[in-house]
Amino acid sequence: MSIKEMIAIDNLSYTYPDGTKALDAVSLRIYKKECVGIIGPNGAGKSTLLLHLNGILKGQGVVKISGEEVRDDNLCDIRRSVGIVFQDPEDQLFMPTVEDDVAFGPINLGYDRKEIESSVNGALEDVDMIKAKKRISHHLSFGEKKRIALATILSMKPYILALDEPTSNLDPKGRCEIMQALAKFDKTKIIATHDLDMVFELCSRTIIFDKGRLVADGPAKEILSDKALLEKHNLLLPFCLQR
Amino acid sequence: MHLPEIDKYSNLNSFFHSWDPRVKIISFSILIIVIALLPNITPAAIAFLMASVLLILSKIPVIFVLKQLRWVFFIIFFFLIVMPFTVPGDAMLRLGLLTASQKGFDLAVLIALRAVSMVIIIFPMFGTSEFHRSLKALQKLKVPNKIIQMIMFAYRYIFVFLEMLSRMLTAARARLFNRRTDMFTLRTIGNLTGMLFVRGYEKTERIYQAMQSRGYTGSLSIQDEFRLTGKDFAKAFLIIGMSVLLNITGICLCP
Ligand SMILES: Nc1ncnc2c1ncn2[C@@H]1O[C@H](COP(=O)(O)OP(=O)(O)OP(=O)(O)O)[C@@H](O)[C@H]1O
Ligand SMILES: [Mg+2]
Repeated sequence: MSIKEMIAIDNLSYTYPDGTKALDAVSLRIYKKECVGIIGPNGAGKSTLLLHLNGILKGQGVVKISGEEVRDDNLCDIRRSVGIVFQDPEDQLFMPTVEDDVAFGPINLGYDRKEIESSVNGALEDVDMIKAKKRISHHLSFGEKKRIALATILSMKPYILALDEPTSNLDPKGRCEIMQALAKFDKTKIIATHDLDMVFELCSRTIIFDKGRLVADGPAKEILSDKALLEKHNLLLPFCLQR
Repeated sequence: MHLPEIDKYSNLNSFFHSWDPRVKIISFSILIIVIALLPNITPAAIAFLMASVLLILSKIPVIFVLKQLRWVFFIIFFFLIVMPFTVPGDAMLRLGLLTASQKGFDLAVLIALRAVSMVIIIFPMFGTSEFHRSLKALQKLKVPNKIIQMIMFAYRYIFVFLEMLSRMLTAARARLFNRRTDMFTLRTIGNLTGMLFVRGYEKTERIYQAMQSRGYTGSLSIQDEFRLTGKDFAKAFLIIGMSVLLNITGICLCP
């Protein structure tokens, strides 16, 4: 196994308790510093896949994070390495103030006061929200919440960042700001999204999911310009490639 | 939609706003306990006056407090009506078969005065700091972590749930739903409530996942930033002194 293999998934299947089969024998390798876009129609299993990366969900099959299998006894380490940003920031921001929220992860990681302070400030600066540090979370606008949700993960300094629809429901400016913050993060990134233009701009590689199966995997530019392949899976060419 | 924000006026500037929340909570708690133990009407009336003065000093608008307390008043009013007729004692007033006793009436007034004074004091106590600072103070005062988490999440998500409810009601109204007294209305309200529970449950599940992702294993620590000064103790001395005086008045006036 090479050192650069950050995520290794073998034959992963997952069925929700109500019987919905969400992942079907997925195998996948993601390498260091790659930025991978995961696309596919609604219900394809993108979010379900992300939840497997840090052991929130456990299906049949093997998930390895930088060579280590995700097990119950190393969840702590795994969660330190893999940061997941959830789709709905309302689920992610549960502390009273922005500062408390961004400090939540570092406190749980056992950082000391100075480290907490500096990682909170660093993360808020990365998403350009340092001015909101003392604000009350539930008074923020949706776009601000999205950015703070990203900061709550950045403050834990993960070396794999997994994002679930980071640009959904944002206005063009909010989308731009999130993308800038993401571009700054230079470690391994996995982005599940319907925003193919963002994938085109940010990702080097694209994976298509459909009905729980991995159906295509290749360089982003190639996959995103393959009109027939995209249409077969209810997707359209990115706007920047349409004439 | 009306939201229950007790710390709505925490950004004002008063005697109590600048007080360290830890000392503030302890001092007011002592006052509240003393009031709860007052034995008769005169000291309870004094306590009521004190509470009113404290409220005015806190600069929280009285109208806001009255609005928040409407249910408390409702319950107290109920006491005032019922107790004179249910506590045995010398007759004060006869209404047909019912007899109202002086003792019952006095008791009701005592309870009413004590209760209103205590809830009024909640406002200078918790309404003059941002709520999350009060929570941090409670944590510093060694209130069990589970209780703090419960209060904190309840307070954080009550807004989200009220919004969810209001969105669902709007959606129902948009399809011409009108509240009447019939089976259809009842069934609809039942479904809406059911939906609210299901959504609430799923939401808590997702929040829990987000918490786990950030290393949550069951206990919560919040950073604090408190520093005590002489002024904090002077204010504590004042409030606790008032409590002691009130207590002594209560004992002296006890028949
Ligand atoms: N908590 C759950 N219980 C039962 N079934 C679920 C649950 N969450 C998702 N599913 C089902 O699992 C399948 C995959 O869902 P998932 O959320 O992973 O899709 P997705 O690719 O993220 O879709 P979207 O683009 O709409 O976010 C869907 O059929 C969905 O209905
Ligand atoms: Mg999804």
